[in-house]
Amino acid sequence: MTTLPHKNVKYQEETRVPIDKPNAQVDTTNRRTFLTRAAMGGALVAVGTVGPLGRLLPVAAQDGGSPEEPADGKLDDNAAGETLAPIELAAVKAYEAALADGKLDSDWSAVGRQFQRHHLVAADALTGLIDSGATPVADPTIQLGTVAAISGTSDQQTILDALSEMETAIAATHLWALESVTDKITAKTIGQFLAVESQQAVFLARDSAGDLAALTPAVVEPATSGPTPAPTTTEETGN
Amino acid sequence: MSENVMSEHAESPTTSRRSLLKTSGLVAAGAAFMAACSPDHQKVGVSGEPAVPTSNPPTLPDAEPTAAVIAANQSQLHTLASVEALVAEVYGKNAAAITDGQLREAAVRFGQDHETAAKAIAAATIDKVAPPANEELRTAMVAPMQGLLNTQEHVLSFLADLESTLAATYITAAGVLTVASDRQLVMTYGAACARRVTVLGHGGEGEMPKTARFPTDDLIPGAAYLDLAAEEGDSPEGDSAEAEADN
Repeated sequence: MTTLPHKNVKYQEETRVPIDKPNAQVDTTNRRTFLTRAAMGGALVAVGTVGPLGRLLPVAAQDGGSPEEPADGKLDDNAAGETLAPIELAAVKAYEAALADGKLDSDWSAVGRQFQRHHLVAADALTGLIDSGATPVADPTIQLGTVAAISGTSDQQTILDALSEMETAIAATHLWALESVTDKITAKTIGQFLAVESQQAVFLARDSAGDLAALTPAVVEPATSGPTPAPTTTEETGN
Repeated sequence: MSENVMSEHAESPTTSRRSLLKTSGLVAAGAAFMAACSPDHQKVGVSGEPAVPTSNPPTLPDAEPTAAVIAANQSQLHTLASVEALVAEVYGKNAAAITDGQLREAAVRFGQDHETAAKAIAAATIDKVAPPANEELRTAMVAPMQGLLNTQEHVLSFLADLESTLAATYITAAGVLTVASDRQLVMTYGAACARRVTVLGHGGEGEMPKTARFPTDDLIPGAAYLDLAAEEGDSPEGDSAEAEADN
């Protein structure tokens, strides 16, 4: 594919954005964080299993589990940041993998850099909600699923489809979180991010999708929460 | 005389420096002993409960929403339902002008989806009454354009604009509604609108999002908000919504 749906878009050429902060802390997991992340991991899986992202996700993460809400059923700003910032950081890494080694042509590379910046903005905003100032770790489910799959292929369309599925899953996870987010302004911010991520999912798959109906459902369903322990960091399991 | 004076001094309770120090020492030792014996092992010199740090305020119980808050929430939902009804009408009136078969088919479906959304949001209100198509928005945004929709590109771009306005209004409502489940509900439809913008934008060529946050400066006019606008004249809800959009 060499043409974009809209060729007269003027892309902003900027230098590549850093995705790893120099003083990144490994983890600050507590019970609440673990439960919310586990629920979020399950949420990603719940969406991913209906599309190609499902096969990109680790098998262990697709086994599912009984639904469970965050520890107290609510996500205050701190919990929302701890839960959602990691998936935005992982999305940044997914685009980093897609942009590596010239796998995408110049037009799609420009699009990829733009969308990567969007996720970085979202990650920064959500990280700012975390009280402790700790730097979140990129979500391991996306790391081991989407990022690994993109890294293992050089086919442009496969990469674009994987990114589109990831965008859909992230938007649905944000929607899932909205049911528990306590602050209205934070809810609006999350709404702005998930709307753009929904658009990015469509834009990436617009040319390859034979049926527009699949890209434009009447209602964008939120992910269903499930405490599937995502592939964990060493700090969470002690391994 | 002098002996009497001396005996009076000896019997008086006047405290000398020496006795004061002695007494103070005994009191302090007693306090330390009692503190050491107390079950909570509170530090010596600490009296009462420590002050609660202001950086970690206590959690307040959820307050019952006032009538005004409930009314504001209902206004948001009624308004959104009425806008959905109007957008469904616009699709129904203009879909036939789209020459591209795939896009025309999509437009017909989008119109049906908006009709369904109008009913679903109305069902989420307390009175469950589906409002008619929003007349204020029809006057302000639809009627002036209707005569100019002569080509497929114009129709698709206008429909994209309507979808974008509706998505922005949904997002703004998510920042106003006080019930989290309502916020989630409206964004399931808001996200669907955002997706349609990407398909319909730029005359059907497709529109790429250019910002990380969906812009919320292109809202429905304040007068288009139902209920509160009718009661208070200057549509404070719409104004506050626009103020929210600046955030």
